[in-house]
Amino acid sequence: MARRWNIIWLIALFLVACAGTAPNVLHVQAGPGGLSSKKEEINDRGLARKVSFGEVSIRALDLGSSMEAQVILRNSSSRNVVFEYRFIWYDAAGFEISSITAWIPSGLSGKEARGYRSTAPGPNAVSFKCMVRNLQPLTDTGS
Amino acid sequence: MKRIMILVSLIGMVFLAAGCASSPTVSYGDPEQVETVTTEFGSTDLQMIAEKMVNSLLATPILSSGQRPVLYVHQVKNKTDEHLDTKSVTDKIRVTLLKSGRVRFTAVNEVNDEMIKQLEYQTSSGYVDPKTSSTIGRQVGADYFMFGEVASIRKSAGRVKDVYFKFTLNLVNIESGLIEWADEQEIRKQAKKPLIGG
Repeated sequence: MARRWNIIWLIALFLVACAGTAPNVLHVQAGPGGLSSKKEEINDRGLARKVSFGEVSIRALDLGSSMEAQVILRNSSSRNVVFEYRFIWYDAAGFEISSITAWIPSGLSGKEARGYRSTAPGPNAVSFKCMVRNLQPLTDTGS
Repeated sequence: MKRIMILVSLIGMVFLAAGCASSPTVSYGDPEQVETVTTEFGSTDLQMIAEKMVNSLLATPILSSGQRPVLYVHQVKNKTDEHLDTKSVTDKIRVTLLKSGRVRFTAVNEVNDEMIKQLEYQTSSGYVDPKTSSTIGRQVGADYFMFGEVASIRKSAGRVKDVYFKFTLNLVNIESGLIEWADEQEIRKQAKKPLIGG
């Protein structure tokens, strides 16, 4: 009986290990003077232990009608880490504003912190999400 | 125990049958997913370049002054040793910039013949109501044009293949001839062949 449960647990563990994990998300609301509020949504604790969100800076562009954001991503570990990130911008009604929202692969050396920047795609942008997840290549067969 | 053995054997047979299936597996993928099938220039490289260039261009004072300058894309030279559709990169940049509403693009460089033909048809053929026809001499002149190049360095040793891409884009003020903005994106890709197969 105990042996059967061990096998079931092993299969369950295998399935969990194979499943994709939701990304860690930093929700940022911009105000007239820059950053208004930010909230972290940690879905992958393993990744959060390595790559953490740092300071957020927002500056006005286009005479204040648009903005540019920078999020510091910090590698807390002493090893190199590779990950994917993307920015998604929203208007006041919460609609996603079309831009390039592709996942971009990146990496940080041990203990390195670097600023990741994104420019609001239009003057109606008021908030954005910065998402970080482990590398999930479509395929990785080499060539 | 016997039942577990039967279960494991059944699962194994299912996997074996799936592997031997003759029809290819086709599925739709997310175009925004990172793609690393080969070291050749791919969709993720295109998106990375476009993202970097658009972010950089939108932050430049030329595009953030509220003047909505008129641009056109001249050419991005492919100096790599592989066939590379540089127009898809500049198209992606152009579409995203247009959506921002901070810049206008003239089509003169790409479809000038078609525009002239259409203008002649509208003004001289007699088929088009003069009240609705477009007028000659009203096209908007470009303030800037973009040009650039993409280069690569390819190296391989043993099972390791290393490719480095560098994409450079420049924005030229037509009146002054000055390069008023330039940026570059570097991409490095490595592939390692497996010991067996590949």
